[in-house]
Amino acid sequence: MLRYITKRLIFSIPIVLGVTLIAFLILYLTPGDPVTNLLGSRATPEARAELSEKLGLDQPVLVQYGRWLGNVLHGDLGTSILTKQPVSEAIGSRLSYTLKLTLTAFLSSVLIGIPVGIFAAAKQNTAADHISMGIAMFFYSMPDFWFGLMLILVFSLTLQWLPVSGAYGPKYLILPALALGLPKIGSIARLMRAETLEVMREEYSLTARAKGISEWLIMFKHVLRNAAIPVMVMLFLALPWLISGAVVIETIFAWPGMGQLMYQAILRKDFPVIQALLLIIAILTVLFNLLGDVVAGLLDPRIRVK
Amino acid sequence: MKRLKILSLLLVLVIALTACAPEAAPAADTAPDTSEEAPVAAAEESASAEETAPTRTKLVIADMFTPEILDNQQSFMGYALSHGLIGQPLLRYDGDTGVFVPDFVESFSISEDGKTMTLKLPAGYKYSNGDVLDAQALVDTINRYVSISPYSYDYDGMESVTAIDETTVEIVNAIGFNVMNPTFMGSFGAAWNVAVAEAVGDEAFASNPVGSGLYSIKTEWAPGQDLELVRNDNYLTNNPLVENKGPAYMEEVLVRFIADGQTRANELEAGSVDIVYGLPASAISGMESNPDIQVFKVTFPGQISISMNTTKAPFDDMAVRKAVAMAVNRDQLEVALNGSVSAEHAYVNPSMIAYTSEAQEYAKELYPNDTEAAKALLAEAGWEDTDGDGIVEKDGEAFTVVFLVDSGSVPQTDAGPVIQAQLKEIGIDVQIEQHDRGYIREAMNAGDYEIGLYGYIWVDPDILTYRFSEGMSPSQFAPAELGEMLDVAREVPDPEDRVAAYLDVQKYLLDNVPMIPLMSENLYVGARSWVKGITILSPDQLVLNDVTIIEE
Repeated sequence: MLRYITKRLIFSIPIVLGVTLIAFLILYLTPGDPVTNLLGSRATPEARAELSEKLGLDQPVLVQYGRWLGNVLHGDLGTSILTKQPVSEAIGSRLSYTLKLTLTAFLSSVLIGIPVGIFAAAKQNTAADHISMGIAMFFYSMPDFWFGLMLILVFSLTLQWLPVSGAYGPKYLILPALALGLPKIGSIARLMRAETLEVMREEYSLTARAKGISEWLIMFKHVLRNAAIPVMVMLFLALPWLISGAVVIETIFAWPGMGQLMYQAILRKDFPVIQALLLIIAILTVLFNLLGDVVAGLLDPRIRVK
Repeated sequence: MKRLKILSLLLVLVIALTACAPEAAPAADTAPDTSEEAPVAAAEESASAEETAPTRTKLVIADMFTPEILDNQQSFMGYALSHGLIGQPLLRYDGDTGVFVPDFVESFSISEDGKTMTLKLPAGYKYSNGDVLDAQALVDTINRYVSISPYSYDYDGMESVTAIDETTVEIVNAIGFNVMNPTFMGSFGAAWNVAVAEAVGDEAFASNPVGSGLYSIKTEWAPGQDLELVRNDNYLTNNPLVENKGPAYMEEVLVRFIADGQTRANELEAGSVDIVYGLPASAISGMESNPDIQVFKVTFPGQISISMNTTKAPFDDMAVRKAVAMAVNRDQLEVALNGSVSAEHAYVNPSMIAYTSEAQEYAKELYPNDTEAAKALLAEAGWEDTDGDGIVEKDGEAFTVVFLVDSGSVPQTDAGPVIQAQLKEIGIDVQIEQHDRGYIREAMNAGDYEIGLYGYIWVDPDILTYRFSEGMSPSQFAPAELGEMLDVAREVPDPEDRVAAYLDVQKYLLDNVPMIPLMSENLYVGARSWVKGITILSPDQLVLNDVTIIEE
């Protein structure tokens, strides 16, 4: 297993480098010069040229990429063009907010979605199944920003129980986490139900049932372990994107996380920030992808790599 | 099964640990405090006897603009609220009388030839941190602006800046002060403490600068966080447009940067913020009927215009440009954009220096909204609908043009389809293309486009010098005759003469119509009724000198 992991990690290096190079080229090939974007409408051609030189944007694109990569290998993610802040600091100051929001939403959607999916599968084709899946489908169909606005309307403006926006303490986390998590409950519950039903129809489940083992024991000992594999893989693959934040929800709830940072950076073409965020997302995607495969192997010996 | 349990436990543990990680931003530990407190001493001293004592000493403001940095000398953007509370402008512009008045300076005068400005500073004045702010300190700050600001060309023509004595600064500028004054009337030209900047370095100063404004930074600020300010007890002003010339009545201000307009409106309705700088126009009708909320409206200086490439067909033909000008219905635009814009007919809008309604009237007379007259102009230029498809043709070519719209500007993206429909009425087929502002400006400056929207915000009509000079004119319109008129207008020292000079410039432009003035963006400021003493100075400066909170 260790050899497999090492091999996968080595193969990941060119993937990450490729992603950063493609992202770099796309950024630079996108029409619109960041300098023109930054300076106001009165900027003279001389002022534009001066700023371009100052930011190193007058160099050929591959030279710029090489310089950026060299700095990254020395642990320097660069400095934001807009805020003059080291990019690592900018990311660091927002990461905890994003993790708090996305992981709360993630955890709540997992803790609710999985039991609901199992429950619906166990009660297949009953009223309980239809109602729980109906609710899950409703959550799944509604966009998170709509939930956000409705939650503000009900809990902040009408009932005045919770604050509208901000990040000043635990109660400020409730509404954005709910708005972000509710749609995910639907997707997790649906997947869990489908996988559980499939495993329940496997021969080993039928054999266990024929032996007279109780339904709940079959469920927990045989069905869940196998049904959980695709769900676990899906959850691991979703983790890297939790780091990049939730742009819409962060905007609606004025939550100072990574989504806001990325949105502003893209809008104003703050190349060092965009590059650093893409690099982090690429690394995390590769790592969690590997982790997902390893976990799947641990759960099911049949797919374990020899 | 054991492994599954362990893995699940590990996952839950990792998630729980991460979720419980300490908050990085200091501002986030402090919820907006709107609890009742004792009235402040300054307010008691300064408030007139008949006024009720303030019931709270902390003000919470929601700002639509999130600053990247707070040192306005290094900033690419000027933010009237966050920068304006920390930096103190040297001058202010009185929009009612059309003249500049002192703020930080005690008085100022300009020599008869208009080339020398003498600034008299208050004696013994200090920055918010207690450092001396004398004539030499102001000279240092002006020199720093020239060396560090991306907009150092604001001080083009400046030949010298000298501290004559401790309280007198003399500036000599070969082109006069019309170009410099707009910088002086905002936080770009404010006095920023150069000694501190040199001691801590420009990078650190960028986020936590020291000025002489009404407030100073209370808790170290980092980009993306809310801004906690505390009253500057060294503050004095000579601004005749405010009553309270001393330190602010409100001891503290929390500026919350909220990008979403509806969220700002919700916060105001919930009463969790006292003032909103930038209410969405869509929320105004509901707010105006709410007795607990007061709404102020100002128009940003500058405008959004239709820019046409005058060097390429079909817009190299003046008759075609005039037809477009007559096809545009600005009243429809105002309604369609929900009151977020005001119609503009001429190049200098009412919030700009040297405004005159005469130019607006001239424009309305020249280009009334008249579809039939516009069609006749197109026919005169050889464009007629020969195949009855509703689109005019010339030499077998249909009048189809690509219309550029800035994807980052809501008024522009909203206005695009309205203009598209209006031009369709006279037989012009408009294909809207949304691009980022940088791309559009490059394309327009290079003359590589047909028609599109172009927006800018600036208070002085000298902006027209940039809009109609070689290499910078989006319409590629920069005749020498106009250049001479603009050179004269930028240097005219007398305000009334300047209005006349820019009236001539506007008439010249309207006669040739390379750009069609369309609309100016409106700014709505909302406040709870318990906030008293709000002042908005020209053009968009929310001033808190007289602000108190009196809750019933």
